[in-house]
Amino acid sequence: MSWREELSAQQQRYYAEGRYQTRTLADEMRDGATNHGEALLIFHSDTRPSAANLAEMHRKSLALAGALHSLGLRPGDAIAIQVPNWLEGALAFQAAMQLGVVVVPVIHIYGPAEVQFILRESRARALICPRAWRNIDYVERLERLDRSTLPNLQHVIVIDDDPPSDCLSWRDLEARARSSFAPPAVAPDDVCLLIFTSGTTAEPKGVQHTHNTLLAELGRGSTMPKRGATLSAFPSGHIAGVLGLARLYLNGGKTILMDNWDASAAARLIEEHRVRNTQGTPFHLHGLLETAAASQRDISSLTDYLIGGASVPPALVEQAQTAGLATYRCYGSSEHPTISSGTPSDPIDKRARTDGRLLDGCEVRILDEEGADLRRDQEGEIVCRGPELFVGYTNDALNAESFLPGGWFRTGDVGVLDTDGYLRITDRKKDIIIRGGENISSKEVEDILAHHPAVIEAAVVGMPDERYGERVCAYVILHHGAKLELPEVLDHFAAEGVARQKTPEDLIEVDELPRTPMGKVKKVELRRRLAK
Amino acid sequence: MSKNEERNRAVAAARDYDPSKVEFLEHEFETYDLLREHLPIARSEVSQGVGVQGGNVGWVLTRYDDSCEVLRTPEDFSSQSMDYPVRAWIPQAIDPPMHTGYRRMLNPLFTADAMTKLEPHLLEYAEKLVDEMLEEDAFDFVAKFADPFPSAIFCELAGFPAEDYSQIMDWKNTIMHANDGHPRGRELACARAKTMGLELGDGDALLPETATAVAGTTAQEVYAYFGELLEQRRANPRDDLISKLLDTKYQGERPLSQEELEDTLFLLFMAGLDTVASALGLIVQGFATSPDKRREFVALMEDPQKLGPAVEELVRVHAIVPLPRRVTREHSFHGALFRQEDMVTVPTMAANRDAEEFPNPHEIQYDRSPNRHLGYGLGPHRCLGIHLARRELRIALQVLHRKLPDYHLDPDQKAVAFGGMKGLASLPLVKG
Ligand code: HEM
Repeated sequence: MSWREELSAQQQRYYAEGRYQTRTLADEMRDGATNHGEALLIFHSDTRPSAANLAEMHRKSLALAGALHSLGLRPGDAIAIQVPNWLEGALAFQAAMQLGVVVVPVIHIYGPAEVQFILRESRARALICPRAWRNIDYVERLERLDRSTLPNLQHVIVIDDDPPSDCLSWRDLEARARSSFAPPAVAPDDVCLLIFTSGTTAEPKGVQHTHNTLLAELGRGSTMPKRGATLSAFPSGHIAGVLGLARLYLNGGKTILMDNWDASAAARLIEEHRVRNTQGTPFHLHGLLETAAASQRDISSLTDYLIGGASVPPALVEQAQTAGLATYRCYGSSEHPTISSGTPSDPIDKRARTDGRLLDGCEVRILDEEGADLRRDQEGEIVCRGPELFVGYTNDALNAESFLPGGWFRTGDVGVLDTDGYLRITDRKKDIIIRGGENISSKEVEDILAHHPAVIEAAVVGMPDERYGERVCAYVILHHGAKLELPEVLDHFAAEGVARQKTPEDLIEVDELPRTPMGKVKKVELRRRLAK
Repeated sequence: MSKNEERNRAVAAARDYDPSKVEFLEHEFETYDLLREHLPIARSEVSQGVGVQGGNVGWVLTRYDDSCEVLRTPEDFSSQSMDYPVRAWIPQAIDPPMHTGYRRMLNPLFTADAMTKLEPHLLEYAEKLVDEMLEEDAFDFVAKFADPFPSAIFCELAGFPAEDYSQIMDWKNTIMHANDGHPRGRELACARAKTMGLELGDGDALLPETATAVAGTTAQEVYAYFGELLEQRRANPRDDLISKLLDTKYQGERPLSQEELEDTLFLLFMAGLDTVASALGLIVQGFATSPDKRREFVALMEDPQKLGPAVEELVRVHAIVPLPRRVTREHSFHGALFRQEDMVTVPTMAANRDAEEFPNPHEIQYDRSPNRHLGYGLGPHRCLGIHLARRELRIALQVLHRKLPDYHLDPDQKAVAFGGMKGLASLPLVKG
């Protein structure tokens, strides 16, 4: 069977089990607006603060759906949204769901090179972005896009009252709102989210999710805290950010979104809104605990902390526990948002040292190098399946190698399933660096370095970092007599137009790289050197 | 059609699932098959009844095993919801352990032996009605037989005076058939809505609020009527259900309160008047259109060994009740997240045609064995009137076919169906 048939067989099973249903995100949003229309969404931002309740959001997003329709967007078309955690981004997301349009969230730090790739690969018909935000000039980035390779891109909407001449302003868009617009029927197996993630390949991979896969993830009533205010600081371009927004409709508690992580603002918001739940990476948690202690903020309302995104130091979990905060880890990816999760009531040892138990409906196998199943407590490659597993990459070439017979997805991560049923991630098979929760493809960074005239070959690995978990470290072999310093690398990366976060922060010049007999660079060896 | 398109059709069917609409009946079994194959645990967008705390998310189950599980697990799937015209009726809307007490009290009144004693009377009355019906060459089987036969028998059994029969039928039709396509039910409900000064709504259906209000006032009248009868029987007991109810003790300890008596009579009134009539109408309609199956039945019906199983098979194929349940606690049902207050519909007609349990499910096989169909329900609420129902069906079908082995649908007049607890409002037939 082809991977597609394998996945389709699994889908059929999820329908038979009742895990897949008849609903779309638009249904959930409409019901959310009816059932808890007063629930408030606060967009905390220095640049563009705002607030709206679910009932208003629903009304406005319907009007906006009419506006997008009038621009020619139709079910199945894609819209790229590169907007920080702002009201406009949330409305555009909701409007797209009503319209059956596929949302392509773009991480806000992505530069013209990545945006160009994503727009081309997704065939987006429209792009929404700010004019400028923090130190990013989006309009300048737009000018650097090569529109000739983007025939599908018909509209660029800039969140500003004074947009460049070939763009629409947000207000222009709102002016096109049609209240008479009747949303089309959308099928629950339609793709509604196309999210790009960095992996082993240099180019980001387009991960496709349907209403069913996302609702399976969101419908996890038991693991998700339901009442009380939630603080969400995940960037909007991430799967976690998208899910955080959608979950709000199902749970109906007050939600505060931050467009930029700022530990002291977070501590203040938690104190002010008596926030009960939040999520983040070790980087976020660490910062929060430190500032709260230093600034004497009362964050005692916070009882739940879902931590993920990078390797979590057990000491941090224990430190949080002392501060009265039940921290638990979870494991997932853009492809399979949550495979396992701890719960606040798990024993501290399991919360600190494992990534929790498999969620209802999720299955995991641990495989050896030959693909044979390993026993409990043995370490191997994690393959998984579950109702929230994505439905394939846009680039079909990637699918064949990513799925095993039976519809199992190769996570590329290495881990252990213990005899109590807890999963622990021990290593990443995928060659990526996770910096402050952001996946960075080593290969992509290596390719950019290799473009530099001084470089013969580069090998990039994660350098352990207190703050970010990891940062980008490059080993380079240079041409005879050539020189390369960090500032020049920085210029080079800026000129290539990629996200600043991908720029190496450590540069180690070597004469040769450790290699396997097949000539592959031994990354394990390079990482080991850094750990010393 | 591709699998995906088929599934999308199933999704649309589940979203719009409303068995109370007559139109639904046109593609009923096709829809249940489609759902069972693609979406056996399906969420509907149409309210499937209202939970006690107001929630009204609806699910519909089409697999036999799932249906059994729900009906056997009253702790998780309560029979009590919110939309009763007066109070929760007894015993059908009461959960164990209270329910067990009521059933212990009612079961002795409806035993097989007690019902067997009625057989000569059933036979005599059936013959009289069929003879009258056959005075014409063309007749409405529902008006002439299916409706009056079980209803009159039931009124007699219960102790409702014969002269009140047509009033009782009007009450029943107003309460049960205001909005399901039953012409008389709608006519009566509209008339009452007008006298109550209520808005009718402009579509085919009565406004739901109006239908609820009409059912409420009508039920009040029925309750008042029961009140009077109870008064009379207290003074002068007779050999009828009302007197027997006055005589029984709950848990052997205390007599039933006035409210309990009324709530019990109200359920018996609804269960005893319509059910056999509907089953008979549908069975005979089926026979009119498939003469082979009718002849096969006529050939076996005088053999008591074969008649019982044959009638069971007919009840399987012509199951009439979609059973509502309310979820009492959030839990995962095979994988679907059922939340507290969600409503679950278990259409017995869907479970009864699951090929996993019934090979060739759409085919009538008179000697089908095993035949564990859900036509009479399952678990604690399994039909109290089953022994009466079986005897009425057997005798009615025997008498009818002895006197009229051949008949067909009247080509000039169409049968009229109603949805919900489905059945026929009329079935025009022609001899021969
Ligand atoms: C062919 C005819 C009949 C069919 C198909 C039928 C079907 C059913 C079904 C499916 C139930 C289960 C209800 C539930 O689980 O919520 C039920 C319950 C009941 N039926 Fe029948 N029924 C029939 C005839 C009768 C008759 C003639 C009576 C009259 C005495 C009767 C009295 C009852 C009562 C009192 C209950 C409630 C039992 C309880 O909740 O414990 N039924 N019936």
